Amino acid sequence: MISPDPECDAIVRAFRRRDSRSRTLLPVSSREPSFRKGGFGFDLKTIREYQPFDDPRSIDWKLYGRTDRAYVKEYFEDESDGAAVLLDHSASVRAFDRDVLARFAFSLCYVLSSLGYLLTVFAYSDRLGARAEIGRRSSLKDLDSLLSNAQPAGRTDSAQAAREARSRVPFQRLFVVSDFHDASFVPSASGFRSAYLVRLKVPVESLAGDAAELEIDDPETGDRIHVPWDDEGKKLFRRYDAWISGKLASDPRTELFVELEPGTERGPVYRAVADKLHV
Amino acid sequence: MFEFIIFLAAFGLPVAVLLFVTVRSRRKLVLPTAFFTGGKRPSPAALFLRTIRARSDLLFDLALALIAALAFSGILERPRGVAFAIDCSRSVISGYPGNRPLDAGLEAIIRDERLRGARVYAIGADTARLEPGIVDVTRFFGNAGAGATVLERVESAAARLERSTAFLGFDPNALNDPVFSRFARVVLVTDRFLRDRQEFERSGRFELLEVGAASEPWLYPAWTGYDPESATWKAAIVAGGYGGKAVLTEPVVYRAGPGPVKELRPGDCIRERTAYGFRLSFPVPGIYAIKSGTTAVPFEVPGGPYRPAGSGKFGEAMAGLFAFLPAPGGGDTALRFAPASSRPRGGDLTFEPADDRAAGSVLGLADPGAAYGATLQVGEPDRGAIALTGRSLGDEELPLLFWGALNARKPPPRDGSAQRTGEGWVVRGSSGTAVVNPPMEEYAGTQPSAAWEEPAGRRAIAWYWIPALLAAYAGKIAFMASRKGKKAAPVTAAE
Repeated sequence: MISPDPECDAIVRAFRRRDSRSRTLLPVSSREPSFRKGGFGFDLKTIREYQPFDDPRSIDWKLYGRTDRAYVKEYFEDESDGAAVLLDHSASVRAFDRDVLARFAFSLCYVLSSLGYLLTVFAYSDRLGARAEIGRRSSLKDLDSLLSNAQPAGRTDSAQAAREARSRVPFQRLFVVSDFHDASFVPSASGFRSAYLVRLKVPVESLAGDAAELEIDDPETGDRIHVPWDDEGKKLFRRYDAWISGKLASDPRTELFVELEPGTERGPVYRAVADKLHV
Repeated sequence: MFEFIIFLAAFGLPVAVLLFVTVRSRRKLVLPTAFFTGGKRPSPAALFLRTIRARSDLLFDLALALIAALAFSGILERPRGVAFAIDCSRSVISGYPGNRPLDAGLEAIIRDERLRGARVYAIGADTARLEPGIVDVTRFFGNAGAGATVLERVESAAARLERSTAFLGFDPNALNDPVFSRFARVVLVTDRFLRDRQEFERSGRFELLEVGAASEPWLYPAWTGYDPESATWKAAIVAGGYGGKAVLTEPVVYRAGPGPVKELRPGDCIRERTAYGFRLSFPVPGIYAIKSGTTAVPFEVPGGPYRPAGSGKFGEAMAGLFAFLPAPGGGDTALRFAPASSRPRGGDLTFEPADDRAAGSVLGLADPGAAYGATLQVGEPDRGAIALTGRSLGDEELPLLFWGALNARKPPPRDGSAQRTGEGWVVRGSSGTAVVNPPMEEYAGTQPSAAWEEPAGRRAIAWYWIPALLAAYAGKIAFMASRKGKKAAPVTAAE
């Protein structure tokens, strides 16, 4: 059984007392079919007077009939309490320590779950793979099984995986843990309202050391290329690497973008995620 | 082929070392190639090109090494065609115009069927600096006008050769020059080949065309020096050639420098007839010229001899022998004895230990006048040396010999302009005036100083290898520049 990182419990204790920042207030009309549903996910947050910027369709006409004043009701969106978590299990993540990666994913889900979020976790490569559902305070046994059994293989297609996930889960949040070497993934095109991205970074420059040339074996395509590792080669690599990070971080749907290199502290990542989710 | 392999190995070795170092320092990483290809999966062709590009430096270097090996080995150049080499020394212009060895040689060339498509080279000295060299004179044989007779073509070529060439000495080893390496046959046109003819033609590539030497009276300055007894400077002028001294008329002596040329009155120069020619006495040193009959020759009567200097134990001892001589003045040249192992300076006489047994065969020093000023000792084949034996050190002429040797080593001014004066040339430059005469062997037919040596296989690098090398290097630079220009391409492509 995978155990979460030791700092996770402290983070959960600290943030459990705080309100969720991103429980989106959703003004809805009584005609909205979803709001006729009862249940846990439709907590009334507030009732306030209609403002010019509100959608007229959101006016609660029953209240208007009783009070002769226009009010709108705001509910907590049900989807705001969950998230889809995509874990990159393509062949390219073989570059990272599998146990460390599994522990990080497990710890992240543990923190989110402990803070009351419903999670649907997918392992993915060019399409969605194994799935684990994690309810509030429920067991992480399924996740443990997913992380223990999933074998990194196949090519990375984060964009396709995100689209598939969007069609399968009702949540508006997307967590993706990947190396993001496929430049096609664009958070704002994923269909999710907000994206929390953890980029796994290979410390290429320290691995290359003082080599004059790199032989790159692509685990996904089987391609092998020789790259001159001179100033020009390093510059080219850094440029592409920075472009990937910049593109993901600057996307309007990106709520959080962190880069995680092997050997670096993971606690700040969990804390940053929790901090983004809570006020 | 063997030469090519050797050159390729030599030039390719640094490339191989670079490749070895690169491969040794290569590191293997398991990563998506997207990081290095701008996010796009390269096609197999692009992968191949990228691998090539990673080795582009070495590939270009290898190409350069290959071109250099081809150029230096000459493997692609088979010697072909015929070259005529004309001996442009003083002896070939001896005689009356139209009847000289030069004219006979030119006629032989013009009548030779192989002249069509052949190159003709003059081996002589240029008239500006008197520096020996090889000049392509093929054009002298082509434009004598349509319908010109052989005689007219000979006259035209001879006139143009005489204008462009200073006829001084000749060294057949000039045929070892790489310029002749690309010819399958080299015909040397000369008046008289003083070396071993069989040895010369042994390789089959060289052919000798001797046209026969002419003989006419000549004068030659055998030696010059200071006579302390009479306090005058003397010059021994040797007469020879057809009729020898019998045909000599009363000489006219000119002072050719410094200053303008002027004829000396009898009081300014004492002329004596001797067994070998004339002995002249001058009250002051300088540049003089003597004319007798149809022949004239310039010569220098240098100041001195002055007290020499020496370095090293033996050199100082040698200099001490001449302590009775006056010290040199500010502008005078002094002799310096230097060990052969030291770096000689201009005017140095170097020495090295000789085998006592060999030195024992030296009986003494020849009279420099009788030996035409060239051979300084008797019985020794090595003419460049001055034997120092007990008898030679006791010879009263020894200082003069050394002095003559010193002046023979004095180079003409480097920035000077040469003017033909009789048989020789007077060179005037910022560092003074000097006389350059043809070597003695051009007159007396003595054993030449330079022996014939078979070419050691040196090849001329064909001109087209130079642009080929430049093009390959420019290609390398252009390729590297284009690679630099593409550094932003991956991001654009991914975007």
